[in-house]
Amino acid sequence: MRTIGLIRAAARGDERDLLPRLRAGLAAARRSEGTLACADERVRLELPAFSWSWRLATAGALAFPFVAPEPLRLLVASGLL
Amino acid sequence: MGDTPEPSDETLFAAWRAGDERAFEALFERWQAPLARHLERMLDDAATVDDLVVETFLRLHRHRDRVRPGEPLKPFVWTIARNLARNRLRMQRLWGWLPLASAEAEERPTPPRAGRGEVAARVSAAFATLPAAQREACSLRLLGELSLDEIAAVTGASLGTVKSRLFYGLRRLRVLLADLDPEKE
Repeated sequence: MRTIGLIRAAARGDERDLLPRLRAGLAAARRSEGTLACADERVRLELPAFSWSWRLATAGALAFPFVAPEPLRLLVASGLL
Repeated sequence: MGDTPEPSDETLFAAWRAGDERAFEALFERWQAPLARHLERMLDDAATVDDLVVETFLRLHRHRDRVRPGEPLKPFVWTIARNLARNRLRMQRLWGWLPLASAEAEERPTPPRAGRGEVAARVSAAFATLPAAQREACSLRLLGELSLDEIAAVTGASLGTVKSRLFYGLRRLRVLLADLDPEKE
């Protein structure tokens, strides 16, 4: 039993109060939790601007079947295939 | 006032979950010293120990919903600390492989600690000679002040295994520290 007392006494040299560090850590944890909650509310769906280049590309894609109803034949006739 | 029984860990935890911040701090004040003593014996690094004690309670705060009602709280907290310590030891071993880390460790001397005399050094050295499982069991019992059942719950070992580890560990510690015992002189 003396040995146990010795071991316990040797371990009780200096005990630090870590409560201020815990409080700071908890405050930081709460802040990050709050930020995450706000971030969920702030989500916005943003589409890219429908610029002239996009409009031109879309028009071309839509018109292509009318201009070339048989694209394979067009490619063969033009020597690309 | 001195006759007022202290609230149980579970009562404090329930009060904290109900919104009483002071109850959480009371739990921390109750456990920080034994937890630090145990972790220091396992890691032998005061700066890391402080980090882990605080981190243990921050994890408890984060995972408070995982504690089931009626479940003993102490093994839950000590298990968090145990996992953090094991992770830290793994990291230290990993860093030990890198030449840069070992050079840094050589340059940085271990800071002297108050009250860390010859006896403390001898006790630390004696613990270091124990097999890891015996060292952990002895540290949890003597420094963490856990019961045998709590040690079994934390380490995942059976009660018989815990008793055996404690028996052999303490026997070896008594032999190694026999000359420090004032009654034997």
